[in-house]
Amino acid sequence: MRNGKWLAHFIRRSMAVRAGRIAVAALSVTIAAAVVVAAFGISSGIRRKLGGELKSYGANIMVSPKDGYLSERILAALERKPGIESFSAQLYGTVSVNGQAVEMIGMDFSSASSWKVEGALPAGEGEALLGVDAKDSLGLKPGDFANISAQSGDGKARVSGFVERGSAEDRAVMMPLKEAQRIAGLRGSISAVLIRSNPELITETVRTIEDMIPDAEVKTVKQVAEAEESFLGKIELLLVLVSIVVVGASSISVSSTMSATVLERTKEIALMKALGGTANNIRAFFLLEAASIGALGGLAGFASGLLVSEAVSKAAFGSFIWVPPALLPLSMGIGLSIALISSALPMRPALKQKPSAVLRGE
Amino acid sequence: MLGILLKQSFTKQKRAMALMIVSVAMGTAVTASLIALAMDIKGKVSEELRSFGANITIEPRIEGIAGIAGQRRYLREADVIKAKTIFWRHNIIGVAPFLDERVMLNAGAGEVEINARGLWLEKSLPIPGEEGSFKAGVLTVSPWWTVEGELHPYNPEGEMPEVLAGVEAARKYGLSPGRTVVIDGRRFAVSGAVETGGREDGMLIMDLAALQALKGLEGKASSVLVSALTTPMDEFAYRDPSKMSEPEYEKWYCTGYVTSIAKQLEEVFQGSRAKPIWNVAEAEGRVLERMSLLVYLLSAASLAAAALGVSTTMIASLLRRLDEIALMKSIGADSLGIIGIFIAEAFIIGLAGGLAGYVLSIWISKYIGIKVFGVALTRRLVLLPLSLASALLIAAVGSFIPIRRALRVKPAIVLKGA
Repeated sequence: MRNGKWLAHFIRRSMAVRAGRIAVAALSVTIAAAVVVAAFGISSGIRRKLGGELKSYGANIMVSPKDGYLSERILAALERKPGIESFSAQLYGTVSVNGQAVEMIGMDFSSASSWKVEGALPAGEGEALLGVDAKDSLGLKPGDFANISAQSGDGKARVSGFVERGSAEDRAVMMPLKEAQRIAGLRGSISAVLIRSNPELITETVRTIEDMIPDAEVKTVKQVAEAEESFLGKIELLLVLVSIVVVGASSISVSSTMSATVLERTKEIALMKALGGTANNIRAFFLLEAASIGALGGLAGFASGLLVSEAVSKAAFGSFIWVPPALLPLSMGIGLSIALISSALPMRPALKQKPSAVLRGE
Repeated sequence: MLGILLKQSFTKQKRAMALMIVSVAMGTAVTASLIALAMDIKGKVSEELRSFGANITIEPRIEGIAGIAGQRRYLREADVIKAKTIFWRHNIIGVAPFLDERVMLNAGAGEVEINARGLWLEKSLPIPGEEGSFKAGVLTVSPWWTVEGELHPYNPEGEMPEVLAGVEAARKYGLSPGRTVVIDGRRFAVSGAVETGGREDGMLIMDLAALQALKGLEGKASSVLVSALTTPMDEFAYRDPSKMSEPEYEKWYCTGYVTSIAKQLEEVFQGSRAKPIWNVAEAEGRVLERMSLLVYLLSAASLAAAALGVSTTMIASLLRRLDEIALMKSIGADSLGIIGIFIAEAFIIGLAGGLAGYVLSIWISKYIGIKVFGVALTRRLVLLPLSLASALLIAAVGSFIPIRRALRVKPAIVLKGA
């Protein structure tokens, strides 16, 4: 038989006769590869996932006018800028509520959906939300009407509810932006844009906005941005270390399986030698077999690792995670190298043995 | 009989047995390290999240119609150390009093009105009723502050008091370090700059006592920020404490929720109202829950992967012992006997692997803890039994399929060599 032919024939026969054993070896490679994919899949997506959770700490970029007010028109330019996850505009001023001076915040209430409110958030214009500190001093309750006035406008607003945030909002009256602009006589004006940027792109985003809106002061909110960066960095490091440990442990465990399958075949090796197989023939045969097992396991491992990381992400974060496709070659590579190395190592002593001794059963 | 057989399998198949023990040890080491991590993760992450700043604010209580714009009220500076006397005092990791006032600044180009904030950067205070001291001041609650230069404590008899300029104020009024400025008719030395990315950038920052003296408000503060380690808010915690029954209230009061810690602070600060800073408190609870769930899931997944991995090792080792099993069967071993041998083997492997894995996990968890959080994870005694139990579980699950396979061995066919 010509060289290539016998090899193909041997491997086909080996796979057919030893289907059970091959399956076991392939399964163990699959597990190692799956662990790699799951571990690195989760750690590469964790930044995004946890970043989403950290969102409620607040904006990490603040745009404010150098003087006076900003025009609402700048908002259109912020739309769909890469790096900007969300933004909201606010208008600040002082109004008199039932004759008392109170800070006013004109804002978009869609970003306040997680607030615990006594009563409700304003459903539209003509409604206002009051901070808890204003509640006691004004003697109002949800549903009451309050007279709100400023230099250039006044009107009645229904108090939709009271909110406690533990910050400046507690002393303020909050109204939909349009309404606040009308009362303050500042149609089309805003005092600040609160931007939630992707923590990784924050410096670039600040620069882009500075170029876009030259008459604005663009600042990184250090409280949020710095804490976020250090926190996400630590968690990412944690998961990467855990991944490395898990991967190391499972490769050792898998190579012990693979070596066992070679060890068990000392007799077979001896027989091949006795029949005239050279060391290179035998090595080629075993390594090719190991390579097919490794490739198979790497592929299956990628698929099952994908499933595991999606299941974990879904359970822990309630949403699926984006697993980088680069993990497919990584998984194949790990499968192949584990299979090849762990069968190559025990090959050496197995090849050294004398066929006569092994076959006689010594 | 069983003894001889076991001795035989461990001496004659040293290599195969060693491989299995290594494989169990690896699985156990990973699982035990992840369990150690899972047990510590809430505390560690909770500490990390404190870098987002204070989660409780204490302000003077405003009463009646007197109103927001009415007469100003203050907190007592002397109450600050009482934060370390509440039920959850060990969870208070930062506390900082502030005094906010408007002052007249003259930097050589006429007087301007500007916001001034009196505070401590960092100050050691005695813990009431205990030995030792604790750190208070703005750097304990707001680690993102960048302070260039120093701010020495105010000394009424000493030379000029010092003032730090927020970076924007410094730019606007030319307040470079070394300059002398007049604030409310008193001379101050500009001793440095502060950058916070917040409203402080436009302010003057001075020692609390200096601003108190300037305004005749000795011993007073306008707000206090507290950074506390808290238990994440759950459904129970969101209920209104004033409508709870006696035992419920007790449970709420003695759990470290941000609301109950705020309540306890309110009790020790005279005339105060303490509120959670909800932006911070809400996010914190969610991140904590997610993180600990994630680590638990990872431990479960690694346990499963270890069990599967060991299982394949054990199957591989069984496959080469089919002859042996067939021989045992043909000379009269019953199923029970074979199960016995395998279980005993698995037990020994599990025990040895578990011990080795435990020792390994001590190193791993120490390494991870120091690398990520700067301190080793707590070494808990409970981890030893847990490691042994998980190793035995791994070995038991791992040998389940091989045992079933062994019982199905037909001596005649195997021995014939088919």
